[in-house]
Amino acid sequence: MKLFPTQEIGSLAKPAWLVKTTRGQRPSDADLREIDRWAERLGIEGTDELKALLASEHPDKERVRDWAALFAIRLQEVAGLDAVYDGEARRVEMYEYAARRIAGFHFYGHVRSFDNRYYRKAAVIDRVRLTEPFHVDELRYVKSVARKPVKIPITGPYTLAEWSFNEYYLKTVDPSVRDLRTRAHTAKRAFTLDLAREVLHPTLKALEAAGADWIQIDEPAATTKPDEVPILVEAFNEAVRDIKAKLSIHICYSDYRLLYPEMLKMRVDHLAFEFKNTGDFNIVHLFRDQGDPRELGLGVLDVHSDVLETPGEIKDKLLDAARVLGAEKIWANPDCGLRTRTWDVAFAKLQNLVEGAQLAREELAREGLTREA
Amino acid sequence: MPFAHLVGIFPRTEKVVELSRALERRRASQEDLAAAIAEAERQVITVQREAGLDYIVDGQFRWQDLFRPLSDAIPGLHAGGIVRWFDNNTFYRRPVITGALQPTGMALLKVINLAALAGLRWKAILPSPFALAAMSENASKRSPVEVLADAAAVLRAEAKALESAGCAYIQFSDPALVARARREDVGRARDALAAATEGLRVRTALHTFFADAGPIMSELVAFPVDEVGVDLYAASLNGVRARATGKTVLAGVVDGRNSLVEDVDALVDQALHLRDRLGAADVALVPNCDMEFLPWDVAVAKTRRLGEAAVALRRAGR
Repeated sequence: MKLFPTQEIGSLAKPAWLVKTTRGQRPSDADLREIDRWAERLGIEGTDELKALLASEHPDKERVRDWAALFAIRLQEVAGLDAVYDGEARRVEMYEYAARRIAGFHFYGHVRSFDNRYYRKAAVIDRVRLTEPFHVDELRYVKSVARKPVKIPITGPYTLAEWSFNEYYLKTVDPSVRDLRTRAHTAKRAFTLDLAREVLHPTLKALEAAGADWIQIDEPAATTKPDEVPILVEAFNEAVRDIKAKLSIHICYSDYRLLYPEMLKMRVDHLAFEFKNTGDFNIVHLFRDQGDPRELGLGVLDVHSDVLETPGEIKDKLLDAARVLGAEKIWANPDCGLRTRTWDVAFAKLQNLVEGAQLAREELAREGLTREA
Repeated sequence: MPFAHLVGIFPRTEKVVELSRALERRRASQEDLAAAIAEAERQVITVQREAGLDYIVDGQFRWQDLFRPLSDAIPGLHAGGIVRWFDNNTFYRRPVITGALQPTGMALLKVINLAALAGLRWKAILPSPFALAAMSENASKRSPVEVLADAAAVLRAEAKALESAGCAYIQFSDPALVARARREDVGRARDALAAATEGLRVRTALHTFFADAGPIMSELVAFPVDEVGVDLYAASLNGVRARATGKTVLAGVVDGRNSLVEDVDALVDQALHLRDRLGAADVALVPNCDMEFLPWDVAVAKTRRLGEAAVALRRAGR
């Protein structure tokens, strides 16, 4: 494997023609021109079929989603990434998509995120049970068209639990336990472990059977409650029991210090973390000081800014991390999914990521540095 | 006598959710949204009155977060970037301090529906001076001591204005004191609150939430307010020897962050345990925090349950 391989983290913005079609609206002429523009840029042929689909009275939405996935895969491949996926083209978002496919959840109504932004938060009202492994067909499609190695992202058990109300498991706590904090902690652990064992584990097994070589488990809520990091780790290990595929964990917008030393018990091969947003690249010393042997996906692209990081800046960050941890451990990636950026910005950022990684390789070769820190 | 009331922002109705979203997409007008908010205020007041709560709030539907009415109105302060709100999957706009804060006494009256509260025994909810200072970004040349004094002056002006407007009860909310404060901050927080409340004739409270109040309980019960609130889903009282003699404690027993509607007996049991543990003169049943983390229907059910628990507590004669 070459040094400083590159990867996306998950979601890309959904094209307007996909969003409108799934809402039952007709894409505009401008939306159709975007299809032509990106098809030419990404070398995608046969888009007449897509346009015919979009023009039909009742478009086959799954087939439209296939096309959206293909565009996203090609965008990453043409940008030059070493591991790709479909930009989560079929998923509403990372929480609700999963929660709606798990028996035991109930959605009441909207909860405010901030200002006039809201999300739908589910309550677990019965023991969770997987109705059908999800993402399997999605993975099969990606594998059928991708020209680069595939890494599939999936939301982790701790985040699913943390972002849900917990009714059922709270009712199962021994009534003699009076302390409300202890009751909540006990119920949270039971909920998270059930999600890991009853939902994530069979889903990961199904994905592996469908050909998943590399699975990224997303846990953005990992450090929300620092005293629950042991639950995060225990649930992760339960979810990945017997899984032979390469395993990543992606955690963003978090204080990574809160994960250690418990994190060392997690059976994971790769940590994909965010660094550009905070600017705190010095935290790579934490992983060395903790003796963490895993690969590190270094977030070097700010996904909340249109400002393009230069290849030179990316190169410097990669080399700085390599000097602390060893170049063989370092991957290059955005902080998180690029879904809040336009495709033009996301593509340009990913191209710079690939170029920055190449510059880092060249500089390392020129300097004759050893691969060991 | 035990009593009960709400302690923070109430979730928006589905109508307000729909129209506030539509407004951002320019598919609804300010007037449409204002009418929906006024209706929500009437609804939440009705729910509280029917539940028999002792102090009534208007639901704070006009508040984007605990600090926003101040950030939008106080010279020297403005709303900044979006930052996670403690250990929640929600966010607030961090106030940015750009100079000496100018007390106006007009910020909160702009966002409280006085007409809907007329004739009722109503309460107002403000951040504590320490919370405002601690949760803001200081982009000015004011020292931390000056910023805290400024915050106290701003909140004192607001409290005086609320008192003049007929408010019966002022609650200062402070998650920062239990979640973020260093030990040496506690005295400064107390002094700032004393400055903000000095001379007020209304009943006053300091409510803490999201983190364990246990380690500073001895100091908290001595704060210059009539009542002190504790989030029982975050606090551990093991080993706490504080005595809240002569004080009322606000027992945060209704979970504003989980949808399971609590049993009346459990609420009563928890409240009495807290009262007895601290040797308090009285206890009030309250949610542990704002209920804005819940959907509207669940918050309404919990408000009704709060009222039922207060009735049970009174019937028990305790």
